[in-house]
Amino acid sequence: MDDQKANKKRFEFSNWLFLLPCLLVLVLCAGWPLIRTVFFSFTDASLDNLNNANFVGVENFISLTRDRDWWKAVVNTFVIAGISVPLETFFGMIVALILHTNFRGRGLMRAIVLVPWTIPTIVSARMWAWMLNDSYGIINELLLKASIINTPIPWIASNFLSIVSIIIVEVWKTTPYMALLLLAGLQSMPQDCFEAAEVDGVPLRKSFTSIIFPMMKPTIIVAVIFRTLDAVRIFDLVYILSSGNNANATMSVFARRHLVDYADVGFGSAAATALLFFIAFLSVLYISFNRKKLQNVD
Amino acid sequence: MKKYLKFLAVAAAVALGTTSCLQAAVIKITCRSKGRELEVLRKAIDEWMEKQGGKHKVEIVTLPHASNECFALYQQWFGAETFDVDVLQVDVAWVGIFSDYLLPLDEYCADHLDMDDYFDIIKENMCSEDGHIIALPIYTDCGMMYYRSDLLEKYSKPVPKTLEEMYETALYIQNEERKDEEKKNKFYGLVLQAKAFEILTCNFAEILDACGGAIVKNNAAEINSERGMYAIDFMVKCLKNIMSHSVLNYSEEDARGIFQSGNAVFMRNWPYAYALMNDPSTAVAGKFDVMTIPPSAVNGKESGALGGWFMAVSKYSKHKELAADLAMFVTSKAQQKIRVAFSYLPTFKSLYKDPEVLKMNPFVANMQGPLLNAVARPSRAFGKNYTKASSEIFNTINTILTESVENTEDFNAGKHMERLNKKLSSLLHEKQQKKATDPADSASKPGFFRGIMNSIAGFFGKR
Repeated sequence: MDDQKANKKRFEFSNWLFLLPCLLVLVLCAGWPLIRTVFFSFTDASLDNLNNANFVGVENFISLTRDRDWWKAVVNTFVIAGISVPLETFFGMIVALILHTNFRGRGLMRAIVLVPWTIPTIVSARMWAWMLNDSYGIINELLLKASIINTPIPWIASNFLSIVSIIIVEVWKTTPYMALLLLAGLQSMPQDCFEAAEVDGVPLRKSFTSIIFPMMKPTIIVAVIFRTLDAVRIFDLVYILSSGNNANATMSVFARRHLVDYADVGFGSAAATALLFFIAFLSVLYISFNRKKLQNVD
Repeated sequence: MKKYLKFLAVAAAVALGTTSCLQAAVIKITCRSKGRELEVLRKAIDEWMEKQGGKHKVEIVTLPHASNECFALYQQWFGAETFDVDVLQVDVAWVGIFSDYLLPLDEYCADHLDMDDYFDIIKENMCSEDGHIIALPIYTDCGMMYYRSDLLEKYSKPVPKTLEEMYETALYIQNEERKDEEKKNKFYGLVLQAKAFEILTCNFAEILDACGGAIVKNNAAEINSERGMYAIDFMVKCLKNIMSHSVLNYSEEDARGIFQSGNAVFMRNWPYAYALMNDPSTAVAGKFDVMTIPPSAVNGKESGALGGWFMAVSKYSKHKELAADLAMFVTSKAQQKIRVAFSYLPTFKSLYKDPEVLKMNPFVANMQGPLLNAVARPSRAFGKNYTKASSEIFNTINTILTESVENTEDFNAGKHMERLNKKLSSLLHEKQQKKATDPADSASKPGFFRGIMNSIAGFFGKR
């Protein structure tokens, strides 16, 4: 008995030993900048004066809550995330269901579907900016040729349409990722339920709503939370596909503007820390959901 | 063991190699990639390397398109203090702001420079506040108006003398051209740059100047003066009637795309576009001409925003002498003469009368006037707050323009301009106060808790 305990202890110790390099890298790459940013948010540091920053307490956070542009950025971020994530889930589910069926060239198809996800966001954002240009962009040209519209649409210049364009491109880009996560969920589902349903002659629609969807629910929720965490940090698309004024900035665009453009490291860090707070809140939601799920299984 | 020895030998060889490299230096220089800048600089650098007997290497670091992004990048570099770029291309508006980080060049170049030959407005911007030369101009820029001479002729319209006349001409030609089915949806009277970036500050500053207003006068903000309101109303009128709404997301190259494909009568842009558009492959080659930004009929004056770039040497450079020599070489009169062919305007007055230069690019002769009339952005007035001020300006103007076409019901430009003026005033005030209080004084004794927190802050600030 004692022997077993000692073995277990040794095993645990070696676990930690193996984890150590990875943890060290994490602490150095993610932990240190994170702590630094949080700390700077309580100071009046500026880009050219980081060494002699003065501690100012929560002053930055107070002025952040009073900043109209910041709340506008918060609203914009959640509007973009709130619309694009459900759309991605919907389209991702369709793609996943298609890729789940057996057809020739399925492997190739699975690889091709991933292309939008693998292009660096900044590249695809530029690409879309050209396609959406009102004078020489292909999208307006096609719509005009097809007589759907009479005058070119300023896709990336108007405040409202920029948000629409950002959502469109965001959905285009991340649907494959969603499809990938959901496909993994589909494939790990036991096949016998389907077979039983088939034998009993359950119609396809019914088998989706009563078998696939309930069994997929945990996967869907995990995928949605992952994507939401990611969507809240949206930066590159907004940077390229909007005219750059405060009316359509998101939280990370706002934080960057103050941190870098205005060299106001203290206030910018406060904005970044507030963004971190939002993400932490969503993560807590995710973890508590996970715990509940585990309890249900028990 | 043998393997170990071998490794040692290799290491020793590498170490020896690096020490012998000390004589042959690698100089890093930054350069923008707008138009043909990179191509031209590369040629100049090849020439310099040859002159040095091929001993030293030069590496080019390309900069982002938008100048406020370059600015942010530099700020990060200077903040880090340990970066290995030697020669930096800096905007005319930043020389004063970055003066603490730039190497005084007097000892390297005082004997070689013909100071009297520089334009006054450029000379003012070469020096730090205490009078040291810290940056050498490589080319100068001035906002100007391009116009389609063939279209003016076709509709027998004269070259407009005032902003208001330009508007009428643009509107007339736009409506006439749009009768053609092909051009119905994509022909515009005017195209400029109204993306919420530094370029919009330039665009607005020159229209304001042309209308007889100013952003800062006698150290006080007066952007919402009667002339300021006139300028913004003029821009709104243009956006509503003779511009594509997409200009709200246009920078220089987007605007050039429209004009170059023959879809606009007037375009506000920098001189660099001239040579590119005169390339025989474009739709407008030989069909356009340039003028200064015309004055408003009321109280106006000819204008154009002063742009232009300088080469400066970083204080942290490890090869100061070589870097200064390279900066001097690429900004020399001979090199500026070569650049004329690519329509980068020289900074020496004498080159505007040089017959060779005029033969290469006749339009240079017309540019001396605009340069004498050019309006500088208020960067010296705002000092380190300039980026904030400029950002307030371009954000507000972009917002006003956007709202003027989107929520037309409760559109109120005056409210925005008043708010902008207040912000600019407080930024100016802040700068003056900063100057008044000595930095050593301001660090008054912190309490015990604050003292500890400050020292922790110092710890986090170190790299």
